[in-house]
Amino acid sequence: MKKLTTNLLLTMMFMLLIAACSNGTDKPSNTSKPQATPNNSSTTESSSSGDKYDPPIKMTFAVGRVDADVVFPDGQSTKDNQWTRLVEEKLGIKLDVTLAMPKGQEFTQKVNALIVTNDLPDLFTVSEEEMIQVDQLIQAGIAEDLTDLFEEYASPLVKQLMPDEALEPLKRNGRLYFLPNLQRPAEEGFMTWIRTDWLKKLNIPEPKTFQDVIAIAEAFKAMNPTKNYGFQAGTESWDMYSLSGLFAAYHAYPNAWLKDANGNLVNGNIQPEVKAALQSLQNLKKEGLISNEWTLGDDGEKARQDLINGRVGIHFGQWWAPEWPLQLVKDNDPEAEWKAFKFMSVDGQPALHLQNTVSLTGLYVLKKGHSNPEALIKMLNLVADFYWGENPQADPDNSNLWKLAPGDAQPWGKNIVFMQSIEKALKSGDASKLHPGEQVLYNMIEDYNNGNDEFWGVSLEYGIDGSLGLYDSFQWINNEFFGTPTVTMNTKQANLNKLFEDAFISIVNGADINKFDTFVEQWKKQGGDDITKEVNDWYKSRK
Amino acid sequence: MVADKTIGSRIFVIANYIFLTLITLTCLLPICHVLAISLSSKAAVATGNIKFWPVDFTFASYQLVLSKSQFLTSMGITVKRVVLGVLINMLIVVLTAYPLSKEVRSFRPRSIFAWFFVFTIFFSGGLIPGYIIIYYVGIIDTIWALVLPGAVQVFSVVLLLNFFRGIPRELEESAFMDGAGHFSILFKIFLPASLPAIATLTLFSIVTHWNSWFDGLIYMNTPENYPLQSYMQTIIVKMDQQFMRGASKDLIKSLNEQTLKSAQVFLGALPILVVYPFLQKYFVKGIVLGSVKG
Repeated sequence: MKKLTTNLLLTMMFMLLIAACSNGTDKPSNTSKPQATPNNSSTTESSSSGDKYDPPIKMTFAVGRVDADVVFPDGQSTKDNQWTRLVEEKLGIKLDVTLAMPKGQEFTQKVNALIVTNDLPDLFTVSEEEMIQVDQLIQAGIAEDLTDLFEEYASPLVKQLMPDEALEPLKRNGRLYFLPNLQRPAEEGFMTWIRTDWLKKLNIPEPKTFQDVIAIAEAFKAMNPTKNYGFQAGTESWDMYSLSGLFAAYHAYPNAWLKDANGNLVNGNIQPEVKAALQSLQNLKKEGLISNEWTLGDDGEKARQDLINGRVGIHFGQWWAPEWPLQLVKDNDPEAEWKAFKFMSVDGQPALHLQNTVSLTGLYVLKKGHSNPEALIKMLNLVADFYWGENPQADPDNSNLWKLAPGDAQPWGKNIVFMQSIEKALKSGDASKLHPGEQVLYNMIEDYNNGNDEFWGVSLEYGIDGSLGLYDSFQWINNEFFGTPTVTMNTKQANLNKLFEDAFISIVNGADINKFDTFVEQWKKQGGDDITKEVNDWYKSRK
Repeated sequence: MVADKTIGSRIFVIANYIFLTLITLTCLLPICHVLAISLSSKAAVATGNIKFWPVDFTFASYQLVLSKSQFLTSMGITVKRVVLGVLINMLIVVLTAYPLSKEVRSFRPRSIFAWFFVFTIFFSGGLIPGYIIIYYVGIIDTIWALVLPGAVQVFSVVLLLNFFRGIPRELEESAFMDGAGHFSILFKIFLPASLPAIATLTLFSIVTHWNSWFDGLIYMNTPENYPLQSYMQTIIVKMDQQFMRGASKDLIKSLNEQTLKSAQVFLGALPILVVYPFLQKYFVKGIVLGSVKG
């Protein structure tokens, strides 16, 4: 299967290359010309009275994120749902959903197939992991230039939800070729979750430094030395996320491109701080504070079960950890209580939280050549107004229909905003001003306060002193690289990751710590230096 | 059998029984495990302590699955696909195997046709060309895209033509003498004589159609048209690093509904489990007979 996919991708790239070349000869100035045409056509062709097209226009739509969590209410389906109805009624746009699939490789393949058969829909979504595909589409001249359309047609609300600062990093040569689903990167930040009912039982104060955290881990282990251990550490593809709090304690930020003192980008994996973190990991493992099976290929499942079985009391997770998996701990042990803390460091310097510079959850591309390209922006206006306008509405419970909307815009840091207003409402007891989306959460929290433990997790996130409130107190460090993978990355990154993984595993399992220096040497020689150069070239080109 | 009672043979019999029991268990236990999970409560499953017996017994996940319209729709599509696909497969297999089982003397271009079919076992056009063909034939997003591309099961054709060759020539010749044509010979003599093979191939065909998921994902445009296994694929995703990063908490939560997943896996496998024993008695016989040619 893997091989098939690679072959396929190669074929695709070749085809796109041809498309790109032929297009290039037709219109040498790909970037400057097309912007004039859509504006003209929109004013001449559309006889729109107000905002509605009459006669209705047609737009085909391929949506690649109808995941398992989308549940259609009765009477609705992929082709006929809240969004197709609303868009037709309000805007006179007949939205024809020609393709709906869950997010994943198959959708990407399918879109590639549609390009080949010349059957690409007018509007389609692309996963944020497929930025290569997007860049190919842009180079091939398939993606409509939306810069001026957005400027002209986007409603004030949309412009407020998608400010220039957020769109700027996503532009190519200053032009906007897709509409992103923006997410505030802060909402992906990790925090330290600690089991506070155990703290209380053992009479330990809340931690201030990472030494305190290690002491807590030791105390938790001492509660039942044969069964318990300190930190939950799943490898989860060696993502390091499950241990990000430990790395941050030593000011190490693996798997990220960081800005050094001279303003150059450096790879987080080879920094000397990582060595200290690995040394600490080695010690922790020796003391039995990390599961013995950890490096033997536990993808996180086993560690999670240990967590749920009450063997671990420290978990590094995101703000939604209480809903999953901590809620499961609560389900099995109603006594369990958890609390979120910022990362703590081993020295006086504050531990930083890593965040991406840009965080997308997907994007919309409009195929060049639609008679009314501004319709896309109008639909975006409608979506924004539906969820966040004067008279905001929410999707039917648990339906996640927003995933089928022909556009996506949400307040910057939506969940953080939600938490703040819910907290306020809980304190004042006045829920009348809440957004319908907030109202749902508010009701859950009220339910929890009345004794329903099912919503314990939600309450810990959005309730008073909820985890989302913690983000404002974080100090951040940015992962500065967000471009498409560079040439050398495509050929050598996998090998470099392997190198890191090997060094990591052997050091954690007791190898000489100086092995790290050998690793750094190898990393640099086997392509790391080239990649660093490419990444820095990219970084400078953006300024 | 019972007559020889040397110690050696007894040990062999006992060892054989133990060995076969173990093999049976390796097949049965996973099913038991899935069944146990599907009948347990969510919280109990999350601890990972469920082995072969449900904890906090509940039918909740089955109720939920059966109330989900998507599961039943997909099940319906799969049933439709199996019925249609198996009929088409078997018709074509029989009609292809018969002429190819003749000798070159009576069917001159036989070798050319035979190689023409066999070629497709070793070489295929690949995904995109396949898609393009299906697209231009105009059957994208219809049930035909699921049954027509695999209509000619060459492997089955080879099995059946070998089986046909095992049927005594005299039967065919005497039928000829009595004035029967090729169709009468095929349907009145060859088919009844090769029922075991037909049953086997039918089973192959059923299982293939029941289990295939990738074509559904590629050739169907909306989830409402997915056959069961394509739908299953969308709910049983491997949560890797890439996936975790982009996924929302709702999605991660819903994909971690182990009990729900297990219930669907079990219900999805149930029809095949039920059909199997009835066709199985032909199964062994069919393959062996087909491979030993006269």
